Amino acid sequence: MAFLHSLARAEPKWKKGWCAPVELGNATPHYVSFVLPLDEDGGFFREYTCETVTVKKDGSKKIGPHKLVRHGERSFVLHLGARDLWFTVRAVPSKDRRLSYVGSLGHDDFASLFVEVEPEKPKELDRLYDERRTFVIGCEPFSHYAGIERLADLSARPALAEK
Amino acid sequence: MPVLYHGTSRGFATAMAGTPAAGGIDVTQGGGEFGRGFYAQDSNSNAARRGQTRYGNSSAVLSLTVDEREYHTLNVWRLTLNMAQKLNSQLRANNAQDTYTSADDAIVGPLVYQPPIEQQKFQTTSAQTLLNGPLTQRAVI
Repeated sequence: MAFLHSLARAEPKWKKGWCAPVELGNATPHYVSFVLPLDEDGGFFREYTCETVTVKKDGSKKIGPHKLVRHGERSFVLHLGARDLWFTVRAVPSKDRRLSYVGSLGHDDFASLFVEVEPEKPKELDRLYDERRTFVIGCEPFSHYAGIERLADLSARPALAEK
Repeated sequence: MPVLYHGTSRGFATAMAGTPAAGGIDVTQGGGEFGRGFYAQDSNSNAARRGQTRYGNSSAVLSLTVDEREYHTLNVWRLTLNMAQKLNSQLRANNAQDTYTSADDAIVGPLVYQPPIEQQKFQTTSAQTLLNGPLTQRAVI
């Protein structure tokens, strides 16, 4: 099943499209977008896998898979227990609506075009973090993106300044 | 003011949190939509997600609770969405996202690509002193 992804808009020096934040290093924007891959016909899948990350008291993390289900033409709902989190397609100029992944990492979904979605109520995501130390990641990159270790090692070099 | 959050690696977050008396935030490091400075935002989940996408399970969130009175002694430049978009556009055009600073202690405004979230960029020695001092509670979460 295809995933919801957390990707960043590529910098101007790149071809226009999406890349993984780790590929941008210190240039990673402070907002990372949620994007959905499209099927071969350019439409949305019925369901996507959406992972959450829960931070435990000892600082370790638990990654859990969930389903993000299409509801109508432009809306998606993530059921987390009794909580429903809604995402809708972001309104952007048509030339920017469907963009490809332009980075160098590997994932089955990266052959698809992507459309950005955004949380309908962003504060609900903050409440989830407040109450359960859980946040929505979509596709946890270090678990699923081939080749990411190489870039992670680079970004962890102490000589590089943090942003 | 609300609690502010900064998503990063656990190592960086711990270093910036420092001790209750002295943090390790450096406003000359970092960049973004408003230029060079230390960035924090009011969305804990977005900060956590940003950290996770860069550092995986080695990520953490630095939370900052700044003393209300001391915060309001800072000179803060507040931007509307339109102002934030213009500033960001100018900085991108001039490739100045890592270098631009103004004379203000901090620049506050919406994230250009997600306006419901407010970001604060701290950029002067005064702001750094406040963030690293005992009147700011710093915690790694």
